[in-house]
Amino acid sequence: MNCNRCNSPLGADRFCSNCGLSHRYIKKACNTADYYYNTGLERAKLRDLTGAKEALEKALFYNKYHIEARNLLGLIFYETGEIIEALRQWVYSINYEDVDNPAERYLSELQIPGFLDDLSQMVKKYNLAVQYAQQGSEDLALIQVKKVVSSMPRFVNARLLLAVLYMKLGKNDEAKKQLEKVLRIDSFHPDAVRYYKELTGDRPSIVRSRKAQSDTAAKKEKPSKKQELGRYMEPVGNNKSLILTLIIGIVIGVAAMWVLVMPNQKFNVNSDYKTLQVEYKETVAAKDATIKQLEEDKATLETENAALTGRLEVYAGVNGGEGMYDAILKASSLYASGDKIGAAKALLKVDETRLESDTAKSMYTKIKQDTFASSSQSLYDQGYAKYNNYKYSEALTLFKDAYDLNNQNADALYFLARSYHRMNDNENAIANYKKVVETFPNTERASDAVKKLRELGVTIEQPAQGTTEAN
Amino acid sequence: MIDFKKELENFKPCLNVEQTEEAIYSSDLKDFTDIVRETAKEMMKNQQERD
Repeated sequence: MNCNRCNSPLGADRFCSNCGLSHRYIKKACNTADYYYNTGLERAKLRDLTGAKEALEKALFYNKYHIEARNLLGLIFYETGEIIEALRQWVYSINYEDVDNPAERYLSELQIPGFLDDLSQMVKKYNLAVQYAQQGSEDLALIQVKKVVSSMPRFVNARLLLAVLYMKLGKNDEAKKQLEKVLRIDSFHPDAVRYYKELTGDRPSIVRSRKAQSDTAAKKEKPSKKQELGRYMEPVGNNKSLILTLIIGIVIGVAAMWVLVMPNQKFNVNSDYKTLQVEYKETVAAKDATIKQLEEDKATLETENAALTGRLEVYAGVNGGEGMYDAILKASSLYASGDKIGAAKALLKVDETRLESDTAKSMYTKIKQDTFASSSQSLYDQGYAKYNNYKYSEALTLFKDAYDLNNQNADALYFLARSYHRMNDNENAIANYKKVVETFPNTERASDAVKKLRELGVTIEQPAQGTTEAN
Repeated sequence: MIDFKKELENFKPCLNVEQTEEAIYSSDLKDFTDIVRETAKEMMKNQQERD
């Protein structure tokens, strides 16, 4: 019987003289190594190269002569771009077992002309990139590591360094691309997964899918009846029932709205309308009251304005003309100079009722009493003289003034009408004849006026018979 | 949050081709059995010295 570890023959007591330990312990160590080798192999198949590396290193810790573990470890190093480490493992492997060892084939395949020189260059660039990065020269490091990655696309550490540099420079998209490439080589690389999660906030899909595969492999693909949580299940049966259910739901919803919601909405609308109506009416009423008040105020103001204007006219006259007090002064002056007719004419402009001053009133009254009657007679006499000389228009003016000064002067009124008649102004003649009849009924002048009206074709009640005219 | 400087410390320089031969021949591969054996030897040596 030989030793499991070094294959040296065992003694009778099952003690290996080469290893220096009882076979029982060596066997246990070898079994442990085999266990870790199997684990490493499983992980390598699932592309968990980091996990496989750990397991294989443990396997080699328990049995350094485990050729398969060492060869596989070399392959993993080669796959992740660590060629030198791969070479080292395969050289060890050949040293321990040089018969039918696949490591010989691996090493022979790497003996390509110029391969080691290129490898050496790339390793130097990578080491330089690491040095630059650690010194803070990210741009220089980036230049170097990009060259390494382009020559050795499976060099995981170089890609990781590139990803870290991109992240430092804020180029997260580029970093993500590098990390995805790393994860395609080594699906569960802990640093790559961590960086990816930091960038995106989520585990990378490659990891998720590989993990799903590993879970399936570990469970030996037992068929599961349970659905995964949160997974959408397609509805069993046809879609018609779904559509029907939907339609019924819509109908119920509309009906509920019609019955419950619409009346309330209507009520609210009506209520709001009534409220608005009331408010409108109140507003209109208030406005009407205001308008009425304003109109009353306007009427009052107009009345006051008229009164004030009238009072102003007394003093200031109308349209720039003489005021009444000016007329009184003028009349007084003329009266004083003996021109009674002038004084009387001046006082004609004065409205006695609007005089406020007692002095003015008494002056007006005095002058009026002393001048009006006598002036009326004088003016009548002048007018009559003009009338007899056929100067009817001048006579007309004099007769008018005479009547204005004394409205009891029937002769003046009658001859005023006669003057109009003589001037063929029949309209004014008729009017004044009528005035004579109305103002002085049952007098001679009234009778004369009636006769003249008859001549003009106007019939009027004949007063009592009076004297005939002069002409 | 990723600390750039701390992450960079994890990146060690690779062995160059020229250093490979030296690394292979200078390394002393030990496994569990070797460690136990050496430990046992050490213990026996100490025991003998005491005796």
